[in-house]
Amino acid sequence: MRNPDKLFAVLRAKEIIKKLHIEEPKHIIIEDIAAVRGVFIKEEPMSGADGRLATLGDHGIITIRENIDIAAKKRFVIAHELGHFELHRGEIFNIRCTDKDFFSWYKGNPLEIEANYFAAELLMPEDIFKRRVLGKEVSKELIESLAYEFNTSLTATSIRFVTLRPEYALVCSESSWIKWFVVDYDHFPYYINTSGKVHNESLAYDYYHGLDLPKHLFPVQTYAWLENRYPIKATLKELAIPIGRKYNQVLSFLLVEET
Amino acid sequence: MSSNNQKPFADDRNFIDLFTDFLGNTEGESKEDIKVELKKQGIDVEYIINNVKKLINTKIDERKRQWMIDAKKIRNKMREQIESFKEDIPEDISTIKEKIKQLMTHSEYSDQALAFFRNYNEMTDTELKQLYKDFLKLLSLQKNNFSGNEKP
Repeated sequence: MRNPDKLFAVLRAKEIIKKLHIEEPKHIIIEDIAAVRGVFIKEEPMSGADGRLATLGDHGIITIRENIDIAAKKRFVIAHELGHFELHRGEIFNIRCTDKDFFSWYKGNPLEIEANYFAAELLMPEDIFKRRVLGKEVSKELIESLAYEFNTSLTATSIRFVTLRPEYALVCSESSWIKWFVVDYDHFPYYINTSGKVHNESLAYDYYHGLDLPKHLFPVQTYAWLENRYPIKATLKELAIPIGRKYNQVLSFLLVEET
Repeated sequence: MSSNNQKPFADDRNFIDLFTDFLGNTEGESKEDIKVELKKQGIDVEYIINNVKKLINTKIDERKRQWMIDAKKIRNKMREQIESFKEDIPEDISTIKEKIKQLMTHSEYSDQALAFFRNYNEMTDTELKQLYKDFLKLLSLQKNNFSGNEKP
């Protein structure tokens, strides 16, 4: 299996953004973008998948599960399938995306990773998104306002934030268990505990135990998240954002400030 | 300074005549002198420049957003064509599977016919039928030379 070509995926999305003169989040009407690329979107009952793309020649039909109740998620599914349309036509046929693919950013099926990078760039273009995050410390308010403005989920927005601000790492936990993480070790050169239950010194732990969370980065013990392989003279800060009682998930942003 | 109370010219011809006459007699004068002279004759250069700039920006914006208007038309056109497509789908699921396989491997579109599923768990028979229908609709778009995707 080949390695994912993330750069190619991002450049393809950038090309479309440039051609369509997308300059503000309000210009990103995903159904319209799909239409001018030759792709029709419809909703249907589906039980096996969130979305499906069928493509033939220059045209495609994206079908999304009709009972996806979050608009931001629908947009991401459409953008992801549009990514397959733009990137993978002619490469391989009959690809089936698995549950794990939703969080395929650094490992997994290369086609899914590429489709995710394409979708992230299309829905949250780097140039537009960066202007809103550069020089700003992550906070609950910032992530929520970005998610609102770009009409994206808190999860997708958070992932986008850390890919553009790689000094941060992001860990998602669910019902106290670490589920997935996004970290760029070139910029965040610390090993994170990425399996098992969240540590009882973490803010994520506090959330699962009914405690109120700070709305800004808050110092926690380094061993709350970082592996204790070597002594670290640094302050670890965490921002924990719950993403809905329905999912019982927490997104933990981590930032190390060396002392 | 520009003014919204600027008197309009009686007609465009009058303005052009005045302006042409004026330009014929401006040799050696500075830009500022010309502006003052024009103002005396009832022409506010700043006002005109600002209005032209506004007009140009509006036109540029309209042109940049034209794709959104086109997109609505394309969506409607595709919807009409796709919804008007009627074809009986075989009931037998193994026949459908075989037809999808044929489409993907033996048709003139074999190198272009693709299907992707997001968060796939398992496909039901109904979903396989829907997928086959999608392919038939796409074939009809291709065969009718649907040219809705005028890619900007």
